[in-house]
Amino acid sequence: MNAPVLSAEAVTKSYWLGKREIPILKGVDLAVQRGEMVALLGASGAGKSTLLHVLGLLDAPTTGRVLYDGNQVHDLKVTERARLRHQHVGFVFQFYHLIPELTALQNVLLTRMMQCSVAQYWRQRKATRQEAESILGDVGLSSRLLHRPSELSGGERQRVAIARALLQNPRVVLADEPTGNLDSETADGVMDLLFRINRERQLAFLLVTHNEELAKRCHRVVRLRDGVVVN
Amino acid sequence: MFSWVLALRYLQRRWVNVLGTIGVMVAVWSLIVVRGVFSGFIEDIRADVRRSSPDLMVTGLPLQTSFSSIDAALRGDDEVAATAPRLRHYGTFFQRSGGATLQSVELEFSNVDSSFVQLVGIDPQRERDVTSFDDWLARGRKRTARDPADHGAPELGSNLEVPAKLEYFARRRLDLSVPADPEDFRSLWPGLLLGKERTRYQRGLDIGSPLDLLSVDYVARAAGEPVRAITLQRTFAFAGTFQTGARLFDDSMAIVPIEPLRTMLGHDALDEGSIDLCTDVAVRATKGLTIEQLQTLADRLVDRVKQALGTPMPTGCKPEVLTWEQQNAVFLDAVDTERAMTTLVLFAVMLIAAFLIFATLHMMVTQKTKDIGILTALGGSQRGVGQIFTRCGMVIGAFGVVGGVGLGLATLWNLNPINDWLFESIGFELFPRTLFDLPKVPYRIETPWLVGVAAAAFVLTLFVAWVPARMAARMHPVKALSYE
Ligand SMILES: Nc1ncnc2c1ncn2[C@@H]1O[C@H](COP(=O)(O)OP(=O)(O)O)[C@@H](O)[C@H]1O
Ligand SMILES: [Mg+2]
Repeated sequence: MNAPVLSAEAVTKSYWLGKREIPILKGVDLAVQRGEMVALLGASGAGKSTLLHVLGLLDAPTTGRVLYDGNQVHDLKVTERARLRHQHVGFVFQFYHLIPELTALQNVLLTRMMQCSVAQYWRQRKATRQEAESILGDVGLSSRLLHRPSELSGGERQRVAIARALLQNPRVVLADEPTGNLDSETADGVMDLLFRINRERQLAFLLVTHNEELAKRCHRVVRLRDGVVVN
Repeated sequence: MFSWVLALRYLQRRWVNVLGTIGVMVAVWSLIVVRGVFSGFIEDIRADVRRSSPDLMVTGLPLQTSFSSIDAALRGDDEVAATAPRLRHYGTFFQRSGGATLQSVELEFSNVDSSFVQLVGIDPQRERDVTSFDDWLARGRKRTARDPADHGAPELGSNLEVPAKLEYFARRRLDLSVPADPEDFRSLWPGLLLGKERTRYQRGLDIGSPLDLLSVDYVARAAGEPVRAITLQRTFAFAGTFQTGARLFDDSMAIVPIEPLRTMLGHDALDEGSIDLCTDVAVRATKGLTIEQLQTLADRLVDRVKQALGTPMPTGCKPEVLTWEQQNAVFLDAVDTERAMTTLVLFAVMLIAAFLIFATLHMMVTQKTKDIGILTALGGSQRGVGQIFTRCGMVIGAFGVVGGVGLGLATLWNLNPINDWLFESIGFELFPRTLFDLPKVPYRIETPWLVGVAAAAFVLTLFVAWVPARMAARMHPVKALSYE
């Protein structure tokens, strides 16, 4: 049997306010299989974002383990974690998080630049550009390549962010309320796009959302409540 | 890779960083230009000082030292090529404004026109072997645009005396008694040379004009008797001007033949028991000695002089042999110190530029906190994130340094045209050349200095960029992402 692309074992995470420990995650067990689309539901402040950060190696768990393809990764060195984060996971955030100085195309291309030298990038620049343009076309932005984020609508910005995650060729996408900042019609469009990507690319998703309807369309729904995950 | 792309992109969108570049540029430019001009001046000054000074000067001799008593000892050294006696004294001179009697004394309070002089008695023949005395005279004779009065024309006699004819006519102008026929006239006044600058505003000073010298000497008639002051008086004829180029020397010295001065001081060559009095001995060393070799020669000569003078030495008397640098140490050190101080001040400009860069980059890191979080989430390494900002510094610094060096060199190469243009168009002289009596503003491009300034400026910008870069690299990605 294949190991899950992404799994958490007994993950806890606490913040400290002065001397006082504030436990947020209290032993989360979770596994996302290849190509699986998992919805993560939970009240605001339940710790969903915190969990995503821990799973994406942006933050270390207080205790417990994080595994990619069955390998323990949460305790790797910081440079290794950066490399793995780049290879393995794509992030999509609620507030898009694009670089304002760069055009849509450049924002997408940026992910390819993260882990290679100028020379390496130069050799593959044409192919990369074609790939980025085709992905942007795929998310419906072929006429917006040279727009800066400030010149794009919210939905368009989120599509750029999705394209950015896709060019990375990740094994799993961690999406933190990707439609939380969009009106319902635009949100539907973005969600349809995510479902289509999941189908076409067999790409695993861990999707944080408040929308029960939407969650039902996913393969599986998990809930984060009182610091633990319940199915 | 991404750090280069973002560094350039961030800079392109933040023109405030141009301030940092301009700051570095101005600092580098001024360090190069000011230093270049200063070094040019110093080189000139050193050349002038060198011209005015013998290789070595024996000084600090006891009073009543006879030149011949130490000359042989000095010349016993293989590295001594020539020697010349110097007899220093002091006095004031009056310029007669007409007739045999003094009619008025103009008191000038400007230091240059003071009638106080350091008298230097020289033996013209020997002096020629030791210093570039003929060159001093030639420079003194040379006309300049600002100095139309032609002072120094005649060839002086072997003992610096003015041609008898000139003295004859000078005497006639002042109604002094002269024989009817100029051919019967024999010169009485020894010649006296003054610095060229000093005589520029001295009206009515013609070759052959009498200068009445007044001086004091302290003597004891016999051993044990109290010392007593006596006044000494002697009339000299203005014999022309000299110029070594060293202003300190030229403005304070009056050069006279040594014999009349010896006579004034009680050692007339014809008198019984007189000595060839001297206060110093100028020494020329064999060609091509370095300043260090001169120094060791000086040390040897001190011993020779002490031996020749014999013991015991009078109290408070300490013979010394000074190299040409030591003879002018006070002046040369002052100029060097001035250059060092100016350089220091300009380095402060550099520090301000560095601070400016630090401030803008620090601001940039704060503004870009969210980007830093995003980049980390996309798989950017700490190093890569930090490099964005060091590379910003690199670009700012490189432009500043290249611009500053380029502007600096361009300014130096065109220094005189620029200076002329400024003077002609707005009447402002950046470098007042009259102050130094130079036809052109001198400058000197020192490659090590150029490279040093460029490297220092660049390293400094890298360093000040490194601090905010480290701050960026160490940022926690989650906190950065949620930064408001
Ligand atoms: N840096 C922090 N220090 C202290 N508490 C934090 C910090 N970050 C998040 N929290 C707390 O952790 C809890 C979970 O936050 P988060 O994971 O963002 O919730 P969710 O995404 O489910 O709304 C919140 O109560 C929040 O106040
Ligand atoms: Mg959240």
